[in-house]
Amino acid sequence: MEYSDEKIDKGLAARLTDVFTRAYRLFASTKTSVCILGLMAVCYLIGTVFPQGADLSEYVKEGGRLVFLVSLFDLLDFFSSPVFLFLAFLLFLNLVICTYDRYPAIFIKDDYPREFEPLHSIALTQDIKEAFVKVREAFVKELKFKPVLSDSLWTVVEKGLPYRPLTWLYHAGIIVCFLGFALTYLFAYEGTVTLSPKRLHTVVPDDTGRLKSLWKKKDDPTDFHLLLEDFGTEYIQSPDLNYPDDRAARLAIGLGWGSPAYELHEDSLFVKGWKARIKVVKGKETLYEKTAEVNSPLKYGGYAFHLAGWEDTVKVSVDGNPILLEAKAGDALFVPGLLDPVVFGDVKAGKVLRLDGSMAELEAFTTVKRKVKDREEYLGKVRIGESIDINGRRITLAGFETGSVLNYRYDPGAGVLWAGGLLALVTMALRFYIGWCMAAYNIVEKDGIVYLELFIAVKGLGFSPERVVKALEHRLTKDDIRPVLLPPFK
Amino acid sequence: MLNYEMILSRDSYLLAIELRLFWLASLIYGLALILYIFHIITRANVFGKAAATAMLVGVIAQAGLIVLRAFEAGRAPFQTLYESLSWFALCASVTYLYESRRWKNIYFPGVFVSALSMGACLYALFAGSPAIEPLSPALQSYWFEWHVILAFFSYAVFAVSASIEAAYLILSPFVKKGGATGYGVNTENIRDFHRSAFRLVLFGYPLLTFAIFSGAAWANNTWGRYWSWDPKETWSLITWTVFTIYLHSKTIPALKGWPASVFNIIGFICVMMAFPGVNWLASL
Ligand code: HEM
Repeated sequence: MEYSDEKIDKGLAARLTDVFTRAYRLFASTKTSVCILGLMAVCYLIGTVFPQGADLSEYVKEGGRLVFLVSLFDLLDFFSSPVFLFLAFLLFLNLVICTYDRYPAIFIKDDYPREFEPLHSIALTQDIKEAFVKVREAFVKELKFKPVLSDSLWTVVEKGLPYRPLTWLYHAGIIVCFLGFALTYLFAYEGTVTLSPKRLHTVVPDDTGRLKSLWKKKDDPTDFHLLLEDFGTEYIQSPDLNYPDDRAARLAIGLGWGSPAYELHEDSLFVKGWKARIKVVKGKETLYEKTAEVNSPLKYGGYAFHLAGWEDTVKVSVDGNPILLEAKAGDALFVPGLLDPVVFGDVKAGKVLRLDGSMAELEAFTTVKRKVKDREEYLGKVRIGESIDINGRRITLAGFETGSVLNYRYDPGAGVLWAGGLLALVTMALRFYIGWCMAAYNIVEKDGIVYLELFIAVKGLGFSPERVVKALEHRLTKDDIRPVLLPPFK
Repeated sequence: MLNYEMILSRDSYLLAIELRLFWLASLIYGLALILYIFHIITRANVFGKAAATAMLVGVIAQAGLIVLRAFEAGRAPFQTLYESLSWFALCASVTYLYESRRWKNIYFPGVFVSALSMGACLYALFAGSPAIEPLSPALQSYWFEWHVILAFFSYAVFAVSASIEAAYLILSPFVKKGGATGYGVNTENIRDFHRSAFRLVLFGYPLLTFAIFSGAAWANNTWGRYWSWDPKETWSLITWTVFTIYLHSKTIPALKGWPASVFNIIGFICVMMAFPGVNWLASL
């Protein structure tokens, strides 16, 4: 037997087409998506079992014994590991092929069978012709169904939203979400910048996102500057609850022995929020300004700046010396002549909402501690202008300055994710909560009695076959074509 | 204007009333549970009816409790562990009573729901703090509020769905042998259990989807990162994935019967892991 090159090529092409068709069919199948989703669920589970972000030595120190598996599958950073990314890609492929494959179906009219298996049967009294007219009227005029097939043995009517396009749309929305995740994965990066009052700051990223980091370690500094105009903290007076942890004591309170009690202490101050007035400046021009809050970041130039916290710098004078020493709250300050360093707490300043609903301005104060070896020893509280004596040195709080700590993030994926999520959610809600209802009916005569035979299918929660049947029966009884006494056929 | 002492004693007094009401609601659910157990043992409808009535009384007490707490806190009372468990118990009981209203003389699944509602209440009372404290700045967000409200509502709906599904799995073999009629269940209406469980998942799934979405939007708004794979987030994603599998399995003829029921029960186990399992694991 002789084989020509052409024949072999054709054979190969046919085989490739065959493999491609099979792969396509495999990925267009819901069964495949069930399998891949199952594997994804197992992966998520693995991610909760192994401490994500820990390093191998920590894992071993904590008693982890699966070192070989952990390093082989990157289990401590599993959600960035090749195994996980590969599976996520398969799910994405599955979704894309499914959605592509079902695209034509959303425009095709349903091909209804000539006959349906009747699920309900209602006895009617009228002659068959009148029954046809009345039943049609009941469906179309009363129950607001739309006729979709009337030239067949069975008449088909529909109501609600077309479920196929909606199902298709929320799958498409999930695909858009996946694109958002991919953009985040490839391009997002983040960092921290601390703004001191009245000074210009440039964002100098020390990252550049996963993709760019292949050729460039850091992204360029921003061509705009940030300027902290004002910073304020708000407190609320919050009483503490005197309530037992012990279960029996809690039960006793529930049964009426004893009561919980709120108590207000001198320092029952709770941070209600903080605000930073920030300007975006280029040269002499102010490009944008905003009072950012904890849940309201400043967004500019593709970056979002989130208020992560604040940083107080206290200024103190020692023995009245006009040259002031500066220290960040929480850091050790070495005062000449003192053996142990001094540590100042956060400065409490700003507005306070009191328990009785009135607002007051806090007189700024901070706490002073001495650091003795690993221990901190509380020495007292000072307000602006007040002093505290430590081993013969007079330390006076001369002033303070509050800087705003901002977490910045560059993430081109988030917007795409919101768009996809919104599309998926809205269409899913319509599909599930409103849904679609189809009724097919036929009117037959058996043993001299006219029966309405009904088949009803619903998608989603908005329609119930029982309710449709009830409403129809009610209408037909009112129209005098359904006898109250005749037994139902089925 | 009220002075501090008056405010503190008023708030302490209201909290004491609230706690007593909460204990009362737990006891009523406990009573419902006992009555449901009697119903299962004796097959007498009178116990089933009494149990359902007790559940209804529990719901009224719990709803009153939540309204009282909203008044005390001056905000929507769904944010702390204590509050969200109370919300869960209310949602589960209401969902069950609503779903079972169509059933005539069928009370079996109530045994699971009353146990869950009572368990949630006792967990809140023993492990949570009832203190009304200001919310930390990060939690002062509508996204967060809706996140918690919908997440717990969906968890409650899934819990009821699993209860009905469990009843279906337990009773089906007896029905086939003709033995479960004492519980009002026969070959005709047992399928309604399966359908009910499915309808509840259909109802809960978009709620959970929105809960995950709003959680991500909240995290993004507060910290700039919409997802950080922490165990709670990951468990909610597992739950969502399992219910996606369940819904897909309902469209596959070979899986739409008992395999779908099993997926539904696994989904419920995931709900328990997402909450309170994660809290429990973290405390180990
Ligand atoms: C993260 C991925 C996915 C999610 C969240 C998702 C979600 C859903 C949901 C909620 C349903 C509704 C079930 C119902 O109406 O009862 C559904 C149905 C369906 N899904 Fe998916 N799906 C995903 C992936 C896929 C994939 C990859 C395929 C492709 C095979 C697929 C194909 C289908 C089909 C054919 C239906 C039935 C549609 C209907 O009967 O209306 N899905 N999906």
